Amino acid sequence: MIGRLENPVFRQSSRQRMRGARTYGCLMAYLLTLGGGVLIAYLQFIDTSWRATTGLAQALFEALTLTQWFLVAIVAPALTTSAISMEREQRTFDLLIMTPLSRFAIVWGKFVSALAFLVVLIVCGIPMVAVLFLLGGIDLAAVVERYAGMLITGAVLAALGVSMSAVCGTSTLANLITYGVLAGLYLFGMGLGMVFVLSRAFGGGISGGLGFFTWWGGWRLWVFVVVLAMLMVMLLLQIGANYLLPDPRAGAWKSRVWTALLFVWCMLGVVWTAGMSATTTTVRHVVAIAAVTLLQPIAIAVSTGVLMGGRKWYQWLLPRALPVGTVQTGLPYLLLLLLVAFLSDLFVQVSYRSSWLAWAYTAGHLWWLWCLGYACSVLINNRWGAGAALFGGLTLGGQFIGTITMFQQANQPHTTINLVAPMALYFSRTQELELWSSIYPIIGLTVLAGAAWLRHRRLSRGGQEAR
Amino acid sequence: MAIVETHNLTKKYGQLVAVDNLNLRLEEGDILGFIGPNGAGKTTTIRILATLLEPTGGTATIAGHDVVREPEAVRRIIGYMPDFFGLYDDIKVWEYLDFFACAYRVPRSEREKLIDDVLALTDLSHKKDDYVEALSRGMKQRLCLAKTLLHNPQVLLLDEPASGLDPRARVEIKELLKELQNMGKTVLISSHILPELADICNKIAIIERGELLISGEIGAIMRQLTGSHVLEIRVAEDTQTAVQVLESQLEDVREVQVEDGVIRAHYVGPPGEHYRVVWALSEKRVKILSFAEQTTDLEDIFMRVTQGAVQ
Repeated sequence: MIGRLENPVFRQSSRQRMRGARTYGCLMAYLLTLGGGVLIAYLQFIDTSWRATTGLAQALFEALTLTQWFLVAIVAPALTTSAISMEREQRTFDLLIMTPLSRFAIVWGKFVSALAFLVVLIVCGIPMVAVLFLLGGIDLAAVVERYAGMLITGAVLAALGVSMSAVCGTSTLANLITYGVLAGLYLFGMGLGMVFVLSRAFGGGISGGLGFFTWWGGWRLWVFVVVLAMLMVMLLLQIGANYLLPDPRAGAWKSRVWTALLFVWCMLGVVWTAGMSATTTTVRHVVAIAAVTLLQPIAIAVSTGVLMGGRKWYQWLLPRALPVGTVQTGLPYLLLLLLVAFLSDLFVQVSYRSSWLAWAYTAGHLWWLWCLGYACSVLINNRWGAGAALFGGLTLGGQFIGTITMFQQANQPHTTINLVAPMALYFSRTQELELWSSIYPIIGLTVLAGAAWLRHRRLSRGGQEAR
Repeated sequence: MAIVETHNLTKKYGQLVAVDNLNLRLEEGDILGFIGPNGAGKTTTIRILATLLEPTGGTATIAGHDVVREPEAVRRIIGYMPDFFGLYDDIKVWEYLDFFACAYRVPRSEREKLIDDVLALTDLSHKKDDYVEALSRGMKQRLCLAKTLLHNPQVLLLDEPASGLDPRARVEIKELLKELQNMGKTVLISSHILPELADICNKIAIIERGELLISGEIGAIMRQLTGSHVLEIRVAEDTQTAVQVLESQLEDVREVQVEDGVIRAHYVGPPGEHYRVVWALSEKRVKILSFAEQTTDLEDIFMRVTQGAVQ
């Protein structure tokens, strides 16, 4: 039994990592940076009025854990972005993949090996905290929370690194994408924080919407975040595992299952907070808004085949005459997730339930996105190119329409923004909801017909099917 | 029953046809030399059989398992050695083999003995505790072969196992392959170095531009190409008499030539009845020093079959 659970990839990766002199150099640099962070905080504490508001131990603890958190976030991807790509570059990949180990076991072994080293890094910093305890004033619960947060961040980023390492052919590209995503997340986090602070300060329109996050706290938040992180790790590793197959689409149904679970968990969170924040939120259609926000990136991914393309799972659902490629199967999948969202709405208080019109609008918006994605995948014939084109097109479209509206009257709703973002739903504009519920199906069908004609023409000329 | 069989196997990369309707058949215990110029499609075929590539068309089965539909079952049966491979850094020889033994689900209690056995077979026992990066190229090839043998595979797919090796290392690999032949393994070995295959293969398949030009037992192919066996006869003094006998009295013998005192003649009669030639010479009191059928020259077959076109 123990033999079956043994993961040789984990053992081999860990053995290789701990043998290299680089690892000890990295550990040394990490501890020196950590010490440096604490020293700077100490000097700041002495020189400024900081000490008037907080104790020395508290200040140093904040500085230490934040530095450690930052370092963990930087180091975690570095440990994994070459996990699979290095196997390809060193030509050890074929021999590894030929073994009866499952694809998931391979990426799992690489991930756990990196996670184990992260734990070593985190544990190395604990003696410093122990010294701070001597000064007093540090809450043990805060220490546990910080370190748990560090581990969760490290785990998700390590999983992202492993996944990108499998998806990308080279370590350089995997590094570029992973650190790009990391930088994006930091910017997004900073942006979200600023919006939250400003809207609270000035009582803006979306403060109610963000307000229900304030109801999160204590064990509920931890349960939600831990499960969310676990599902994200599993999804990322599954995507990585799919890319170890000769055709990544063969394992796509598994990544779709993890995506669906992630979506269901998020919807549960929405239903949960919507119930708790019923007294503060002023936003209507809470569940529909959450559903469309979560389904937008999924729609981009499944309609262009990025990351979650698949042909096998739904093959039996489609008529034989329809050539089953990648992106066609994304539509029933999206509809299934929308149905989950619709059903979860039944658990929200009646006064906060989304109207039929809101759901019709949501379905219409997703249909339109899928049609656009399909058209992109036909035009570009490459899943990454199509995905990037759709995402870029929507972002640029939003910027363009946003710029135009700046020159118009501020109080007048600008309905064309619904082409790129479901704004009518966010602002609960009934007339717009009605209008776009009827427009989406028509423009979607038009784009779809154009794309289908192009595809037919390409296939009849003997071109290749989009993957 | 065929243990390896491909039926109209095809692999296309866009417009380029790497393998074109390939039909191969290997019986248990066969050693097939897969010959072709660089870029002929040998590696692509082997990678399809090794479940590392999906064919565009056709089927391939190993011990009855389809390589596309049942890759896990196929991987348990085959041992694959790629043409170019890397080894992990900072790892010892026994650790490398232990890693793969564990990956192949060899029980922990059996691993040590198994590793010792394959190291002995590949003559690497003395390097057990050395780091793999310190091994010579030939030793690395043998280590990879040792790894390939860990799970006792029925079929071995060896892609250019001796390429880039010095003559001594090449001889060592050849000896090892003979050992495997004695163990009853079915081996598909690709190479463009023909002499290395001649001694060990009982069958050959020649591929060019993705198309299988000819395949079968070496002797049968030679007969198919020339329609004859070449006999080499050395006689004591009366060479002229011997030539006369061969030319005038034996209907099954043609194209008699004498080179450096050796008589070469093409025998076109029923296989296994060469003794008639000896009888005829003996009747005329010709003193025969040696009588042998010329060994098949793979290079000869290869040059006759291929056109020298490289993709």
